[in-house]
Amino acid sequence: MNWLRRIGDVASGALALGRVVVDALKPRSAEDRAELEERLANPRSTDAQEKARARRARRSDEDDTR
Amino acid sequence: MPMVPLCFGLLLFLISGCGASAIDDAQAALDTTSRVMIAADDFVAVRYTTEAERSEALPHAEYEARMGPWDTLVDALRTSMAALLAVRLVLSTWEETGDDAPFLRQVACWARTLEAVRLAARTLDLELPLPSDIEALLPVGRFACPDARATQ
Repeated sequence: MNWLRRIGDVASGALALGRVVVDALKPRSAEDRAELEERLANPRSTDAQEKARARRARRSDEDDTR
Repeated sequence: MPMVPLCFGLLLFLISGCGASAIDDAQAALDTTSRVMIAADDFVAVRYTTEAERSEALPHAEYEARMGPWDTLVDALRTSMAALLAVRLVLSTWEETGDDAPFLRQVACWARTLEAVRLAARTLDLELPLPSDIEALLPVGRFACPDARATQ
């Protein structure tokens, strides 16, 4: 199913970039730019990483308790 | 991915550009590039979560082995996004002083971080909508990243 995941990856990337193209055509305000900087400063992938690590730590604690 | 050459075309345009609108062009290019990076970040966040959930039941060592390359990618992406934020911030120096050198140096540093993201994604056989050849497009020397030179 690797090829299926690959197609999914490419489609997701294309959709994301499609949104970027549409956004790029809009005029930018100071608020828009502040929002971009806020997103650059706080990546969602890091947030996902922290949440996954916390879940994993909880699970390890539970396993140790049993 | 057609957007990637476009945004880097814009970056190159601002690098070679002159006149009153160069800073505006730089700002527009940075906005677009930022959105490309944010889109890549969203994509990695979803894939990371999926992979972590799938691996949750694994023993510790196996979990670490499975998630290690993903952690490398997330760390590289965070560094690259911070470097891009620094490019945005140093644009104001260009505006204030008229000197574009700090800005261009910071672009070169950001390009270095992007290479790390690309390598991490390649390790995972992941298709990320990122450019691969920005450094090749930057003329050597004038746009070298000072930090990279110091570590070589």
